[in-house]
Amino acid sequence: MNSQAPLSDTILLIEDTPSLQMIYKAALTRANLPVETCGTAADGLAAFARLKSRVVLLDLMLPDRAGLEVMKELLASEPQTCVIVITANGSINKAVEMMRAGAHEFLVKPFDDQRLINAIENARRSLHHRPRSTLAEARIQVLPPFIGHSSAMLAVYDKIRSVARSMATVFITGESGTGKELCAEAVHKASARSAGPFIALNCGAIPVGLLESEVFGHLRGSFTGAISDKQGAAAAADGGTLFLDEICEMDLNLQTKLLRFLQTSTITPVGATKPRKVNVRIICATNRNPLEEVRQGRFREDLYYRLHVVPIHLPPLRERGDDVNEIAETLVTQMAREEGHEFSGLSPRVRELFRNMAWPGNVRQLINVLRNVVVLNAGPLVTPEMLPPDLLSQRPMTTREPAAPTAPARPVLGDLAGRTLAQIERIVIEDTLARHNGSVPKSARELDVSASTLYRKLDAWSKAETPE
Amino acid sequence: MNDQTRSNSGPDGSPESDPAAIDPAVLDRLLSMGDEAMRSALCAQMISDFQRLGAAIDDPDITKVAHSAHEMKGLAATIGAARLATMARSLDTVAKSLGAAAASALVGSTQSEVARVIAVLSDAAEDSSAA
Ligand SMILES: Nc1ncnc2c1ncn2[C@@H]1O[C@H](COP(=O)(O)OP(=O)(O)OP(=O)(O)O)[C@@H](O)[C@H]1O
Ligand SMILES: [Mg+2]
Repeated sequence: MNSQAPLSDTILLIEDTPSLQMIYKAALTRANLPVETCGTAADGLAAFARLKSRVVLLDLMLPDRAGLEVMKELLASEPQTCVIVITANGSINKAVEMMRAGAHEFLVKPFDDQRLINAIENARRSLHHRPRSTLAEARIQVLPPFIGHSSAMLAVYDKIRSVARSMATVFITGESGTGKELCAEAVHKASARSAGPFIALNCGAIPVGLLESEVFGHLRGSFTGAISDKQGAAAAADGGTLFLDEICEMDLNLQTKLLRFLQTSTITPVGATKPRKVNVRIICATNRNPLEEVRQGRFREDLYYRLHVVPIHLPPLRERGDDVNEIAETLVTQMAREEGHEFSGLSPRVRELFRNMAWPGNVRQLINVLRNVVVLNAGPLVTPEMLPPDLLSQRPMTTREPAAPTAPARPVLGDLAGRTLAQIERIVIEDTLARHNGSVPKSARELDVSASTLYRKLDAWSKAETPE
Repeated sequence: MNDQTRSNSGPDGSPESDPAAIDPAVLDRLLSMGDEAMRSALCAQMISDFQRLGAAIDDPDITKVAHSAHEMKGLAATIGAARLATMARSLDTVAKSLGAAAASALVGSTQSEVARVIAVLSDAAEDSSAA
């Protein structure tokens, strides 16, 4: 494959507790996996220099040195190595640190032999997936279908590539329309599980009461309306990736269940008594500030740390330099082809405008604008006259205020005079929903309430209107 | 060591037999991973590790106490000794956060539980030599 000495298939186990060494070794031997064991960091590093193991099982608490240092040394000499960190419960934060430093996966004691074997198999699969020689060149390249060469986005592509090889949970943040879902798909596609399913679930779009069964499934008859068994998203994603979009909309009760799922890799469908093992990689996303949600008590801190192993932040479009024009030129020609119109690019004036606009709806907003232009005009260049008037009236990005998804309608107090507070609330909510094409999560975000609050209100109104 | 906390010891100081100290399903699974030789070697090693750790949590150096408690927690949890794992975790946390005086109050009861775990392991070792 290349000039360097090949890595060895012998697994290196560095664990200081002799009984655990024996137990892990027995599990590996039974699975026909060759293994060499060491009880200290010094012995482990010496054995590694000799063996060049592809896969290293590393205990975090060694008598002579911290696991993190040992791992850094291993990876510095052989970046291809997959390090699986083993840790006892209390050190989740440490494990998070290790994942960020390049660990492939971490296993929290106690884990059973099957979990151990799975971790090693995952690591080996990801190694097959990593042709070494192309790695360096790939690093400086764009990652389709993403468009854009800004340094901020190159760093994102790089992060996606490097995290894809591990099993680490990815936490994607970014404003609406910045490409969070695209990013989740890209991680899946670049990973060793790309042949497995990619299941996306929008936690904000599902009423609170139904979300648990959407995630974990249910058995027939477990609640009113459960007319047949339902496989949840977690089971559907077995062997692949589960993308939990708008994770901050999940209620606290379900957050607890999600945490248990992450700790045990087992699911218990609603109404079932027996848990079942599933093997999924979790990616989640939010356009809120997750730490703020933790501070406000709306998001479990332990779950946050469990999920927030590798954060990827998608910068807003206005912070990506000329990416906006690169995206626009590529998409406008593509869309024009679909519409049978002749567009070849943007006029210099439009390029200038695009670069200076705030783009509160980011790439999605740009796509909508372009679609509009291409449908209604013939080409060949996009000119300022073709742009929707409300786009041009948007504030330029020199103002530092947070951008609203759409320009909020000015309140007309006269219309509201004489109404009850409940009526006013309903008017405001309905107006907001209408402006967001009925999207509850988006309206909830603008009104700064949880999506479930809105669902409850909608539910109550529709019940009040249903004749007996 | 604090003698009042040794309430669970039998009259001769040996622990009462308490099979609940280790979940038999977990232990059986571990002990049946290899052959007979492996089974008795593993029993012996676990007994020796718990003896070592049981003594080490009584060290005057509190960082050593925390380290040993942490190691004990991982081993106990792995072999299905849930009660001991919980106690070791408390000891680890207390040693790190509250210091030596607070930790020493937990040492005695943790050591008693270690003794119960060792008793179950000794029974398992005898079973394997009898088989
Ligand atoms: N860099 C990019 N190049 C090309 N297309 C992009 C890029 N980023 C995003 N898109 C496209 O923009 C649209 C919005 O992206 P996506 O749905 O991933 O955003 P999001 O961050 O998940 O938004 P929301 O928070 O509203 O759910 C999609 O059609 C996606 O394909
Ligand atoms: Mg999205």
